[in-house]
Amino acid sequence: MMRNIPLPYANAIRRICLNGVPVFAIDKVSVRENSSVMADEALAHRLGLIPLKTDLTEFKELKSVDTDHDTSKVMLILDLEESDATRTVLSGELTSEDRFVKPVSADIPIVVLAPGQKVWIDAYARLGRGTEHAKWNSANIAVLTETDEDEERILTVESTGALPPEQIVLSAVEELSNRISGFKELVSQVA
Amino acid sequence: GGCQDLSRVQSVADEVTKVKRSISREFHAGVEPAMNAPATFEAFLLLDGEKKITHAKDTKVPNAAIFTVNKEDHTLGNILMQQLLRDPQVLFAGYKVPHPLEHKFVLRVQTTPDYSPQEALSNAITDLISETSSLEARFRESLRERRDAVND
Repeated sequence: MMRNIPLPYANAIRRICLNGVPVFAIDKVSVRENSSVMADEALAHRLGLIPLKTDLTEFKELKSVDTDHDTSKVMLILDLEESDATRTVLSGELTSEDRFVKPVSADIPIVVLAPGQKVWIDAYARLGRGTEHAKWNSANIAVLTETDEDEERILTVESTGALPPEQIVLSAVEELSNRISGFKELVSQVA
Repeated sequence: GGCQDLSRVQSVADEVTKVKRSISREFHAGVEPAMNAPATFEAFLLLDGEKKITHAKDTKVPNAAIFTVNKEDHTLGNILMQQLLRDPQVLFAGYKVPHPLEHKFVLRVQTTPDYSPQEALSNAITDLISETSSLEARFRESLRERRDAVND
């Protein structure tokens, strides 16, 4: 519930809730073995879209495009035995090196394996924002609705599960103030 | 003689399989952008030599300037424009995103003769910063209240 907050503010926060907040998602996939019927890149694509629980206190975002820095990446491994029967590999089988950053739900199907097929991959997750790729969206839904009162609006946020909704809104507000402050410095350079 | 050759072939074959298994193919976990599409990070990262904000005088009317802000969108543009409109010495303030595929916006500001557009923009941002910090404080406060209410 937001009261006496100007509409462009509220909308900016809503927009940032959707795709301005950093979230973890798998970005690089190293395929060691893949004998399933799904192509390597299709498998990598599916892995990228799995929402991962995010911990913003421990990890920092990278400022540049080159992603070879250790402290901001989390490695997840999918190391499977050859299956005996046809089965669906679920996201619960992804093991993460961090105890907190792991798939939001263990029931997300990744690939179906027939007897004798094997998948062995290393995946690296990093922090990113939804503006770069939709897999990094922090919220699925962010809606601003008016109420009967004057200057009162309701912001409804549905998270992907990576971050709790309160954390999303808080991070969005922080992100907005960072953007504006950063802007101020640049303007003073111009004027 | 023949037996030795066979074992050597077998050992070479084993080596090859070992090497094959240790080579892994790297993939980017997402759809590769189309051949002629710009990289996705271009939406928010400045290119080499690109300035975040540039300004130019608008010669058609007095005391007007056009600011071009790169790698930003409506999220910032709308807020700046609305804040400028609240300044009584600002005669005109408007923004637009010239093309949705180019990530920048253009902000035009015209002020009264004793005031400059740059000053107006500077003051608008100062006001916005104080508003956002109070907003942040209010948010944290209400979240804390809600958490305490739930825990009771």
